[in-house]
Amino acid sequence: MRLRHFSVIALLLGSVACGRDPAVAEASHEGRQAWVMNFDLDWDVAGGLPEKALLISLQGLANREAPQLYIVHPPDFQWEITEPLYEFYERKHHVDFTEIERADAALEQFSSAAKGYVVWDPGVGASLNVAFTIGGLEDAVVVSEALIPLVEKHGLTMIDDLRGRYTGMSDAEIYADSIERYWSRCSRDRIMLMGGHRGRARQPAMADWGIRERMFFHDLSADPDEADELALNRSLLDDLNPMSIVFGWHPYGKDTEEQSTTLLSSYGYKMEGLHNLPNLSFNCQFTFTPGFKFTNNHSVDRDAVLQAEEKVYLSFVQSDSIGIGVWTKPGRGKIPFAWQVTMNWTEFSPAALEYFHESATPNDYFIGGLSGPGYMYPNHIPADVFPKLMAQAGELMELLDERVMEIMDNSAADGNVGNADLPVETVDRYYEAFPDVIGFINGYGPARTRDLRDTRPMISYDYYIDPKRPREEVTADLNELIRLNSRRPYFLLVHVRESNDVNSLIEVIGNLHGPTEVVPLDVFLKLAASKKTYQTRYQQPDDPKHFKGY
Amino acid sequence: MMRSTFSKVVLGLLILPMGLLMADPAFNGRWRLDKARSTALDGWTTMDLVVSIEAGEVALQHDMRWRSTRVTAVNRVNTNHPVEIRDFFRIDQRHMAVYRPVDKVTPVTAMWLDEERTLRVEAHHEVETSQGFATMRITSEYRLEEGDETLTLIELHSTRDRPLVYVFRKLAPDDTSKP
Repeated sequence: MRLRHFSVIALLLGSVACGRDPAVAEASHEGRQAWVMNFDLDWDVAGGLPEKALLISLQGLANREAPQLYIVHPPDFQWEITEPLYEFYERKHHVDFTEIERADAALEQFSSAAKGYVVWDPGVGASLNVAFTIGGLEDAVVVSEALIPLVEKHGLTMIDDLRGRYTGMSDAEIYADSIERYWSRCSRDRIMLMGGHRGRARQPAMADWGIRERMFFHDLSADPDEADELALNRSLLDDLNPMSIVFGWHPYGKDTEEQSTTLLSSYGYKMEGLHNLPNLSFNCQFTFTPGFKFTNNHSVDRDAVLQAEEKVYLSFVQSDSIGIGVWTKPGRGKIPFAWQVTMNWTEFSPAALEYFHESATPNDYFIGGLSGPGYMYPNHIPADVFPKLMAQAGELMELLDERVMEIMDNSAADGNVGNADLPVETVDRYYEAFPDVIGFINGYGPARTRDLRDTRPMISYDYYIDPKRPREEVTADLNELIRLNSRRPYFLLVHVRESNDVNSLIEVIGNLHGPTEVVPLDVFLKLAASKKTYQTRYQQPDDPKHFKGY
Repeated sequence: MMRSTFSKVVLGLLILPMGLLMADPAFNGRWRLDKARSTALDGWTTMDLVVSIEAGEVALQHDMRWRSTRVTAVNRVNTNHPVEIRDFFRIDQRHMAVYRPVDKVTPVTAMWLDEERTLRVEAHHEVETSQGFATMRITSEYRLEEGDETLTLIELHSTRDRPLVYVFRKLAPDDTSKP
């Protein structure tokens, strides 16, 4: 009853947050017309980027009032599900897509959604983000100089021209000017950190969403060594409303994921990435199909009591938003896998979540994360905000029929190595916030935060499989862990990084020593609750920290 | 008593220069990992090994790189007598939850073999795992290959089935580059 009640609320909230008309969403179940474009992998600034920036900005405007334009990316693109999701829309939402092959035809179809165009300067990288901001505020498509004749052919006139305005200026100077000019008119609930790839190639595939929602675009650094940029970054974050969402991704080469996520978390904001996550302006306008209800593949009841045997238990987990690049690869379903779900896709991409659940095999088990209702570092979430965020996460987990929370705090780590641990205060907060979970898992790379309270274990990853590591070395690594942890049962939790080949893991498993068993994550946690052979440990003050924080 | 002291002095005079004489000077210098011919590093991007021999002491300096992070750690072993090394460094597989405990010392022995072209180092290294502490016996052989331009490090763990093989190329003395 509570679930059904929440589902209705969530759908309504989603409608409001996305700005979609519930009536339109309802009508979508009865079929609708939409258009689709197929992108290639050319995102070079000197190549395919300008036209893609134009089309993505057009997409954001075309999808303002209704879901009209969808983009399919090649299977090698980081988000490989665009084509399966396109087929899902056809099949489940009865969307009748018409393919548009060229930008000219796209403008023919949708130029009326734009009031004009803004010109960016490919020689000044930050000008593209300023142009995206203007695009959202002024209903303008974003063009480079070379594309002006094309958009003028379709009757669009110039609204603004950034050529020359920012020549020779630093990013800090450019964004200071942009803040002065535009920030007051932008959303205060969400902001677009359009970073990611920089330099020769860029992938602003999420810009449609930022334009649709009139967000401020920037790629300001969170690195304390970039004091000017950090100060501006903070000034924007200071202005956002509580519980806001930062979309996009940190700028590669300017700062680190650890710095950026630490900064956002310290405000209690949720991160929703990546910068190249496409089609949110389209996806957000669909609800779940009528009668759909999330049903997870639980292998044990919530209150079940299991007893571990004298053996090694392994469990595999894919995080990274249901394993960017993995779901559609061969081999899925052959062994039990847990998949971390980006829970707030209930709001921004319900169809994607429904697609994942619909295509799950009995061996695919969904878990909540990452750390909360979005990607956050819990060690830095303000104590007074933590309960509100986790209450939101708990409701989403209930909606998604999830019973395990995955935690990741890499604020002190160095990429996927180093300190990914939680101090006891953070652990206490999780145990208090999630009384109904069957357990917690922690880390990204390996970590050593472990606990067991009542029947809820908290287990960290003992191993992280680098997709490039030769399988014979992965086998040797796992066998060495099994030797070093000689007590039985031994609970060996493995994080499988995106793009790992499941078939190769099956070969690894076949070469492990001793009595081993690969079990679903919920079984693993129940067994770990039955016999605690692992040491309780929390992050210690003298544990090494790569990034000391702000 | 007098005779015993005299014997120790004589023995010492014999042993002291032996440490120096028994080391092949070609070991000295900076060696850069040949990644293509080596076991894949895990959690490290690349590394240099810097060897300096003085009397019986052999300093094995590891200059490690992980992305933009650089770590330098030195193990000082002695071919004349066992030593205890605080913060013993091993080329760890950093994606395994195996940690170096704080304030632990590692007993280490070292000896020259194969006409002084092989240095064998054996360490009983305590590590922290999810179940507590465990000891890893690490046997490392540093083999100077013919021509003195290649150094092969073969590392065996009492806990690992496969040897870890690292092949290094010697850098020119005036090459001050870092890995």
